[in-house]
Amino acid sequence: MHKPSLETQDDGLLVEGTLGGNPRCFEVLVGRYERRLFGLVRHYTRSAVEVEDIVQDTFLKAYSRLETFQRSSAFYTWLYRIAVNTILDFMKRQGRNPVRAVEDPEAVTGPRGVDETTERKSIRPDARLEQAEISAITRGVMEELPEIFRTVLVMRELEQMRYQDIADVLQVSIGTVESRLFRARARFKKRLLQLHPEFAASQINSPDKESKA
Amino acid sequence: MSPRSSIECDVVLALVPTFVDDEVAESVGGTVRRHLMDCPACRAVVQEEQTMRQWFVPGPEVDVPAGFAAHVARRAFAGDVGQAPVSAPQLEAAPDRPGGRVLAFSRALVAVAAGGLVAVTLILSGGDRPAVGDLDAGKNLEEALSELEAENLSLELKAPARRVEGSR
Repeated sequence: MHKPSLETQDDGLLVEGTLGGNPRCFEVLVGRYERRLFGLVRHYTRSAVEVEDIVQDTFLKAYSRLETFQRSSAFYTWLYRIAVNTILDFMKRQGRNPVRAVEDPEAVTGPRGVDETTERKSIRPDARLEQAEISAITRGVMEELPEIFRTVLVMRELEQMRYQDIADVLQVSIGTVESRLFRARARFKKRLLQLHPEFAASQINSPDKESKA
Repeated sequence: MSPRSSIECDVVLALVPTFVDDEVAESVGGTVRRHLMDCPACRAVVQEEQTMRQWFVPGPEVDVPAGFAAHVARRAFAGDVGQAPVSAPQLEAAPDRPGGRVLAFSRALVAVAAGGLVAVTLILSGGDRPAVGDLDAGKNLEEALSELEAENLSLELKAPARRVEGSR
């Protein structure tokens, strides 16, 4: 009977194979997710060497804790959680965590915790900008955001993760994910406007304002 | 509230981010969509929210080093549990502290004075030191050492006489 190749086996079987002592099973798992992890980690550091170190570290930690992996959850979500923790730990050790003690990410600074003046301003990428240029601008702004905000933005906007998956990785409620995303976008927009006011478009009116007028 | 809508603008506005993220229940999404058809102001907010998403575009393709998976698997099975090395923190220029320039000037002055003192000492003791040519590098070590010893001895013998001359 034809035996299916390791490449086509699902994550659970590969995890079992790895735990059974087959290095090829783990190699296939690494190969399956390495690109996604490289993509994730590069949002946190521009150094290719550091990206490689962090991704490698993530897989090595995953292997050493593979017995704790609960088969009920997706392997990638579990792996992703290790990756995010490894990234945050790495940045903390390098003193690169921009979350300041005085800053409470959940703090409310307005009706929805944002500067309403900024909220009403529109800022859009210039149509003449290349995708790479937009990406570079976005990256520059993201690098200035506190870690807690950057992480949810990366997961949602760049990794296209569902709220539930973000909540699972960060081990918070969906409500917390929504709240952080809302504030993260507001912070992103505010910083973007400060750094690139040339992209600010005309102000939009809030429905409240319009109905009162 | 728009004429046909069953929900208030405030409620729709609170739902806008999750609506744009396609994270609301289908029934709620339908209600929001109906409201938006009749409410240009809320529609503008949704468009603005969508505009913000335009900033998040995929970056350039990621390069994974060849053989990365095999390398990691080998290390894992060799017992490496992982610990990303932390590169040395970047050195930052020290802040310009008050008094820093005075301290630097003092250091430079002391260095110049010390240099001058060494030069004067060398000039004054020049006559008592063997000339460079006197120490032939071609000679063997024992010969060179015995020459030096002899030189030192002659200097010691001369020294008391000079002190006596100086005391006069």
